[in-house]
Amino acid sequence: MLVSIRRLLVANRGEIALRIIRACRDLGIETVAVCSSIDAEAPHTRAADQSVTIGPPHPRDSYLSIGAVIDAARTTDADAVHPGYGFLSENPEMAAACVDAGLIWVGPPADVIGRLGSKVEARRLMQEAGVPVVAGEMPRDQTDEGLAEAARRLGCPLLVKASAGGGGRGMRVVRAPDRLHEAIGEARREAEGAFGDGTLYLERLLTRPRHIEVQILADHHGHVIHLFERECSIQRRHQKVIEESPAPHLTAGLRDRLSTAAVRAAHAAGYRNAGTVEFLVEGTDDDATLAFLEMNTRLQVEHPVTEAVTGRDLVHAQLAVAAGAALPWSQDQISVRGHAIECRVYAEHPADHFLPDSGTLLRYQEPVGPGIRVDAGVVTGSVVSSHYDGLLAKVITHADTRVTALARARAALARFVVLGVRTNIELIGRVLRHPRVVDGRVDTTFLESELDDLLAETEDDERPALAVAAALAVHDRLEPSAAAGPTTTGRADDPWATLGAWRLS
Amino acid sequence: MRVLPTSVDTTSTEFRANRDATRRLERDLQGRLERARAGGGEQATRRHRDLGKLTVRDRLAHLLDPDTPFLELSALAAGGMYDDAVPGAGLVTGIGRVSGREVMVVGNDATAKGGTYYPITVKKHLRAQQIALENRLPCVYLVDSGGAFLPMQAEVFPDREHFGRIFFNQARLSAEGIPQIAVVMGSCTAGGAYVPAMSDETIIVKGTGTIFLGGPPLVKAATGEEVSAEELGGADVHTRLSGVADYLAENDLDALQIARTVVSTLPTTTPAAIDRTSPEDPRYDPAEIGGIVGTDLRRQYDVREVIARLVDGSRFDEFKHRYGPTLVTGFARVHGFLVGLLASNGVLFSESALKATHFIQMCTLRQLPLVFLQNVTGFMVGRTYERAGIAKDGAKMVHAVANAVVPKFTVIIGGSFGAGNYGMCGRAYDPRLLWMWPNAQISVMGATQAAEVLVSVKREQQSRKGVALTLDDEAAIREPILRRYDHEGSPYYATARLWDDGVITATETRNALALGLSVAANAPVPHPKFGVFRM
Amino acid sequence: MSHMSRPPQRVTLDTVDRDAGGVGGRVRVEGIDELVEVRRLGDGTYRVSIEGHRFAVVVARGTHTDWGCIDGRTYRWPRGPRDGRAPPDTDDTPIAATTPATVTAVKVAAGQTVARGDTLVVLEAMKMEIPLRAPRDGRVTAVRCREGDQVDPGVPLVELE
Repeated sequence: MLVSIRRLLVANRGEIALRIIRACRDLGIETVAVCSSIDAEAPHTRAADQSVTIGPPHPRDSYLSIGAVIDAARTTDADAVHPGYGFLSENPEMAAACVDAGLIWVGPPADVIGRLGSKVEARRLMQEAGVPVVAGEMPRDQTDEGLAEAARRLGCPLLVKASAGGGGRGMRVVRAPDRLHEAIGEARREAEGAFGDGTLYLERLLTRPRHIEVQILADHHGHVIHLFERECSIQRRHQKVIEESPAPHLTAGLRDRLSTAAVRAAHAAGYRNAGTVEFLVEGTDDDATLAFLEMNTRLQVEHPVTEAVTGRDLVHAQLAVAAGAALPWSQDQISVRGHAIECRVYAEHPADHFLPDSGTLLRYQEPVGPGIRVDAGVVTGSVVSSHYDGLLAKVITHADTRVTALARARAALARFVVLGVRTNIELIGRVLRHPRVVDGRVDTTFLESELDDLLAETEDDERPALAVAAALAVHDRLEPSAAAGPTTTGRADDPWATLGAWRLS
Repeated sequence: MRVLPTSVDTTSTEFRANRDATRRLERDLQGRLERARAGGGEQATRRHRDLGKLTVRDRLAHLLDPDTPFLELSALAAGGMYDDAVPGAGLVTGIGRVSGREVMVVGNDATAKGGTYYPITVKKHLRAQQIALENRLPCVYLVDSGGAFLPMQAEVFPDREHFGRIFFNQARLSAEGIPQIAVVMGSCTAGGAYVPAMSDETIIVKGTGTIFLGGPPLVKAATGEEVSAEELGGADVHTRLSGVADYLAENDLDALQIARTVVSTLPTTTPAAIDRTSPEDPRYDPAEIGGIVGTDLRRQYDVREVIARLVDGSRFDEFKHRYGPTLVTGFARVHGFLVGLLASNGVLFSESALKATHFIQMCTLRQLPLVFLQNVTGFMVGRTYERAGIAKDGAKMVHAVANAVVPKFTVIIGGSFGAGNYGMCGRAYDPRLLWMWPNAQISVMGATQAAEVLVSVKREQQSRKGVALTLDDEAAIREPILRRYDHEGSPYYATARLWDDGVITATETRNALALGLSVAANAPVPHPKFGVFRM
Repeated sequence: MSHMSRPPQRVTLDTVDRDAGGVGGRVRVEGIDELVEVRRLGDGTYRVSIEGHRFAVVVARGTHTDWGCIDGRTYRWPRGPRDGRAPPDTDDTPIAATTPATVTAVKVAAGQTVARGDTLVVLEAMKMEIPLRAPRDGRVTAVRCREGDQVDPGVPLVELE
């Protein structure tokens, strides 16, 4: 694949930054990492050919600072910027600033991001293009009263969303009208905090929908293709936890309706580069209900499941398209082989309201083996900070059948060692064993409704705990240095460290 | 720093003869150490193990961080004394690393006379505490002792530096913020009970550890009460009822594990500011030292050949190279630690003493540790030298050494005679650690000189009576003196009495110094202060 | 999640060995007859055999926390000598007053089953009310005091089976 990008700045951190750097390395593109002061030794900073520290830890002053990122691109003489997901990826001003600075923006043009980023505008576009949508509105009157008025028109249950948002932030479910006021307040505060824009959007909530999305790719020459769908119904608080491709139990007709609607949506939006059209789906038959949810104008966290089943590298395609090339594949070259599942491993405490956990990774050991891909942004010794999203790694397993892919995911998670911060690994393991997940019959309410039961599962066998205690007793004896805190003899070249078990005569 | 040149010919007959003679001495040393480390012998060790106890050396191995050094002190203490009843004085002391920290370990060897305290045992215990104080090392006492050795109570109990001083020291060390930790792994009777009781934290082993002021026999004699050792002062009693001990351990291993955890929770000390870089091996092989030095103290060699085999990269920046050449002074690094080095290269003259005074004062003001390589027959004597004031120049050197508050380390690599011992930081001058090589000799003067002095005194007395000494008479005076000086000047005679911290070989010296320097860095260096230098 | 928040109390190191076959040790676990065999496989990785059953364990020690992982399950325990070593002999400690006291209430009778933490007897001393609680689950075999009794410290007031 011929790409005219020479040096690309990755305006992100963690696993996605590493993912992009890897793709660049494949294509012989030099990479520039940006980092905040606490990320100066982070894996993504080290992996890039060069790096620029662009500010203090708080994202507002570093990863979210358009000026700092553009300056870094200028000083390192980069000619392109890949925003990853989150941070500046769906910020039209960022896209515009790149173009103004003469940089290639790896993503859709600013006006497309702007149009699709506005819930109202996006709905209007889709309705015009004949894509089915959910009932919803963004009242011009953004006061609590104005919003309440709109809520009455739509009826409960409904969803209060940040107009500028994504990733579940600034989003609240309102099941009964008396909860509306509180939800509006919370959503507005969160939206202002996360996106600097407190505009809210209300939408009718489907009660037990599945979340299915379609990956699309578009170039500057008018071509749009889709790379089939992903099922992302296992979520908590609108944050996806486990995704898979293809979506289980879809009839060929329904799958076709989804992809066709997605391609139509992309055309209608004048879309370029990689994007995702999200739908809510109720039913599995050809005549199931579909509703356009939103269009994500970036690479998704869960893109690897699509890569696994289609055998295509989406970042390669993004770079090619951004550099002006035509899409590298035609629609009839894209087919689905086997089944892929992604599990997101977060530093969090599931039993304590999923509070994010932070700390130093004392030990981090990824599972390896056929059909296992791990995209991670940490290594042993990494410091997991509360400043950033707690996503540590994604485990993607691929196999010829869904049953095998699931089994492989369970086995991989059982071998995934993360010590030093609490994670959701054990919870995901339980989710993967849940009969509804095994059957592929989940909707977006699944995780929240089953959560208490999943967390309450107990082990009768106390031998594992005894085995851990026994190993610790021996470990303590064999590897005391780890147990010791700061020492007066901390140097590696200290005689106490280098002389071994030296004794007189 | 400059790399020292060498002119050693390792193929020469002389080198080979020296090397072989040194090897014989080292084998002899090794034999002595092996015998000392066997403790009270096989049978006693078996009985000890049958009680479910580990030997003191096994305890040590489990206490220390794995694969780390142990700088044992005075392993040959009490050698040749008390009919060799208590090898190593029945006590193992040394500095090791526990949970990443440098600590002083003091462990009773109950296989040797029940771990009772002979006079030298007390001296060895006190010396360990002294080192702990000077270097701010937490102390871990592995207690398994019957207390004072009663038949020698007069030499163990009453004096200032006798048994009571151990507990005095514990209190003082604790007050200095130097943690005192006891692990009771056997009996702690009478005075011995105070070791755990005076400690900051105490661990006791179930079944074998006991603490009481009076044991069951004494209780029976005093009050008629019949009570078992366990009921009287066992682990359960002391951790649950009396509070004399703090942690109950299931067995020796468990106890040592708890001790390790306790050490890991001790506050860290801020090491003194020290100049150190990455260590570098000497360019020349330290194993060659034996071939250079040999065992004949009368034979001269250039001490720079020894320095070249002890210091990092064989690099040495010599200070005042052309002045007072019988004492070599300069800067070098040992395992990365920068030191000021003073090495004997012959008899001390006024110039050598003045140079030493200058150098010691300078290093002290720079807070640089000093290393003395002592091989000195004394200060030069004779009319010229006395008139030139060698006594006051020697005094300047002794004054400087005495007031040098930086860590000092002394290795007696040959002779240690007369005031040379003082000037080159002998035992009385408080080096942090002092070692002797197996070829060393120590006495107020050389055996021959001493014999000649005594012969001439006798000759004078006799001549006043008008009697002349025959050659046979002279030999009858000379021979016993020579034998006696030879015996008492031996490094083993010295080390048995704790005149040093151990006999070590030339090849071990570099590591021993490095560990000592690392340990010394735990304590801050006080402000330097000197008195009147007689001019 | 389901994990015990504290390490099992009944684990003591018995032997540590370093031989040609590798490095490891044996650990005594109360309630298990054989010693538990622990072999080090690598940095922080151990194979633990409990009654013929093998577990692959990965452990790490943080400043305040011990971590261990088996088959996707993670254990996280506070560390430190005080935390990790509740006295193993609590069971032998008599249920008795710790100071001279007056019995103000007897809450149990012989033959009654009690759960750990149940109040057995209430004492009063120094104007304070002191409940004596069951140190473990069990059946009361004897009650050796009545309301109004003056009791001495250390004298067992209730016996549990």
